[in-house]
Amino acid sequence: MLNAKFRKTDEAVFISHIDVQNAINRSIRRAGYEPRLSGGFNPHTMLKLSSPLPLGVASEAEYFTLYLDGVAPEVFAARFNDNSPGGLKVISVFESERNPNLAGNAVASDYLIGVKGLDMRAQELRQLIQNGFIVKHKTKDGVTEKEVRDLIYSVLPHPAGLLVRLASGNTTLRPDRFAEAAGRLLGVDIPVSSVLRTAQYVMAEGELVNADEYLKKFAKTAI
Amino acid sequence: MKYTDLFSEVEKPARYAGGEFNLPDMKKPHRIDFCIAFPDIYEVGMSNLGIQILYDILNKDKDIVCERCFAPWTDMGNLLKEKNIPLCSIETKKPLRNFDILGISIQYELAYTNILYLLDLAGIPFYSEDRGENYPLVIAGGPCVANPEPFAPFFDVIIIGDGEEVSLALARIVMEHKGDRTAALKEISKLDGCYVPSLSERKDGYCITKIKKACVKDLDKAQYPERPLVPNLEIVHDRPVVELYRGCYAGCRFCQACFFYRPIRIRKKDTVERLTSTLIDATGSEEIGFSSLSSGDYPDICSVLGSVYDLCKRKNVKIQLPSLRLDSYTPELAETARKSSLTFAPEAGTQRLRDVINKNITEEDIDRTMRQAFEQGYRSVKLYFMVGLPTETDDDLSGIVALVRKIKDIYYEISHNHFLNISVSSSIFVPKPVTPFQWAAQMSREETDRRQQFLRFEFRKMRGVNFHWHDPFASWLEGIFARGDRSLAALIEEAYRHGAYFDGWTENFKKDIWQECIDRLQIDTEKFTGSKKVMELLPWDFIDFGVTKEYLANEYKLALEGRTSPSCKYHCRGCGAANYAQCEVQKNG
Repeated sequence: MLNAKFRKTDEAVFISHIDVQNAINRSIRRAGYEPRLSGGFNPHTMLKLSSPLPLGVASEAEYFTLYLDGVAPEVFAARFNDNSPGGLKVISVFESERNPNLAGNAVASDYLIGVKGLDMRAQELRQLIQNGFIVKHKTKDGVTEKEVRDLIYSVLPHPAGLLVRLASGNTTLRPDRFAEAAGRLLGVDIPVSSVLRTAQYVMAEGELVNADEYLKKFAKTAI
Repeated sequence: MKYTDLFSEVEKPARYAGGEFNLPDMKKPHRIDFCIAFPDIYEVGMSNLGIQILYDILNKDKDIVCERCFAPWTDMGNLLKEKNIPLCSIETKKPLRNFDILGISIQYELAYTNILYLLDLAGIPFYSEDRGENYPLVIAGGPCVANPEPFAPFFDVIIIGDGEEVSLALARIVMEHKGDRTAALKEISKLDGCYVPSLSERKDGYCITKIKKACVKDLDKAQYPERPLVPNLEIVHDRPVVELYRGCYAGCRFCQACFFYRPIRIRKKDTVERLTSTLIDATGSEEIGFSSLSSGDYPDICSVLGSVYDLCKRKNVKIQLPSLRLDSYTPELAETARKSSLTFAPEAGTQRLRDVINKNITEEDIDRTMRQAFEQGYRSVKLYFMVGLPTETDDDLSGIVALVRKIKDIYYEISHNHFLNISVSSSIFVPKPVTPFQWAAQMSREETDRRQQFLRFEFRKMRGVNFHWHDPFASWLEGIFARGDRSLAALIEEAYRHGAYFDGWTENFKKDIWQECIDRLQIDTEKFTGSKKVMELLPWDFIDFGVTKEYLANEYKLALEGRTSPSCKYHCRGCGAANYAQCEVQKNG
């Protein structure tokens, strides 16, 4: 079983979750690999992706798991990257005995919000959040508002802007909605294109553990 | 605000972002740049084989870079207008107006307003006469050029026929005459298949400069996209396609593609097999399609499919085999394809009317085919019919109902355990240029509506049958443009300026606007939808399609007498297309 960490950047940030799945599947097939297929009338590649990203948000920490044995991680990464679209590239691969179920176990993600000057306002934003943090999004019935203070783990200054840790997984605070709400509170325009997911975390023994570290525990070999 | 900043604000931004796998080198040094534009959305345009073929051919030329642009959906279009940002290409996000050549592929009449939508968003004047050296050469291609007159004033050049060779030749001329549009157009007008409206001679409102259709003589040797772009979002036909052959033997009298794409040129079995393997490897697709106007008429189709079937099974690839005629269906053929649903087009409900339209299938064919299919386990059938065909009566409509009932009975004779799902679609007959029915009248909207209501009523009573029908107004409009003349360019402009675009999309089709514009401009629609005399001069008569007017007229006469013509699969019937290239008549007849 292979667990690949990949980058979703450039034009690929506009590919939806289901289409990313298709694009990865086709890349694997082009690379000449034949991973395990599902059973049934319409067999398809057994491919597990980590939690979805909103359209327009880039990432350096996406993951997929594939039922493929007997392939060296470095060979897989090179062949995959030769056969994948420009914005979808594997960074590292961990070989494991069993499925780490990252999609099910991930609870948080780090996002870098690259807007100049925001680092100076991290403290101010933290205080505003303590007073209440409401995200808004459009639905069929109008605009829905939701208080999401509890879904924010941290807000830290970063040389490029802000580094925030938000809930992601079964309970999610979408980074685009966070960016819109934070921008509204600070009176700053924070475009979706300025957001980059930099890490994902799982909860292990009551602590947040970086998904890479988590995967290494499962790994037989890794690159 | 930049063009790319809009992507976060629209639905399905992957339509505009690009970055597909197999993208050619866009940074190579080049002498001219070409943009292929499609007047419908990405998902429709990327499913078009012609676009992929031309894109591949042009980008393989060392001096040309070719990019793409599809009509942005209304959300993106509104934003572009609101922010005053010009429409850009997908690959390098370059404004369309900065290209040397802008080629628009026109696939159906209801896309005519979208030609103007593209030009409007790009900031390019609509009419050829209003564009100078600072704008791209705007050219058209696609099946609608069989009668280019309604949109001719919008274009500098209209390519009629196969685009493979002539597009490159045209691009070379533009390259050699860069900065001198007049000289370039003069040279282009000498090429076969190139209609330059501004240089054509006219008499009584009709073009009289003879234009010969462009024709690829050897399809087997023609360049084919072996590494097609792999879209990053699901498109309408989401699979690579191998074109089996061009043209059609059948000679159904309503079918424009059959006559427009003649002579019949075949891609050899070895080439088909090689392309299948190459396309599967180059795209990683889980499906592959074989395209032609009647797949079952490809020589020895079972043998070809048999060999690609093994390859596809090994690679877990499904085969899509569209356009199967009822009379060419065999159990072996269906065995190779996926068994979800079978689609057949009897087109008419009675043998009399099927003889009129020369759909050479009989009740026995239908009976035999359905039995074989049901015995193989098919439980879903799609049937296509047309209403409003020449000489159609209420008996023919009752024939449709009787035929569907008969198919149901056959099914329940064979299978007792499962429910049969029948989908019946009834489109509306629209007489098209370059067909034997180009002189026939189109049925009025009111009468079409009455006939459809009859079918709706009958099928509502029939369990397990889903009935789908076309909008009579949309088909009527299609009919006006199909056989229209140059005066209709004003109607297209008027309708677009009043808000008509994406007319092929039911949710966006604005009948009121069209009716108001037709009334305001006092368009005599009967002139275009009514019957025509065989001796009458038609707006597209200046084009030599290969198939002669005499042949079509004779076929029309036979139709009105209820007489059929055999398929030309084994014996040439002298339609005239063979003057362009050798028509592939098969041996074992």
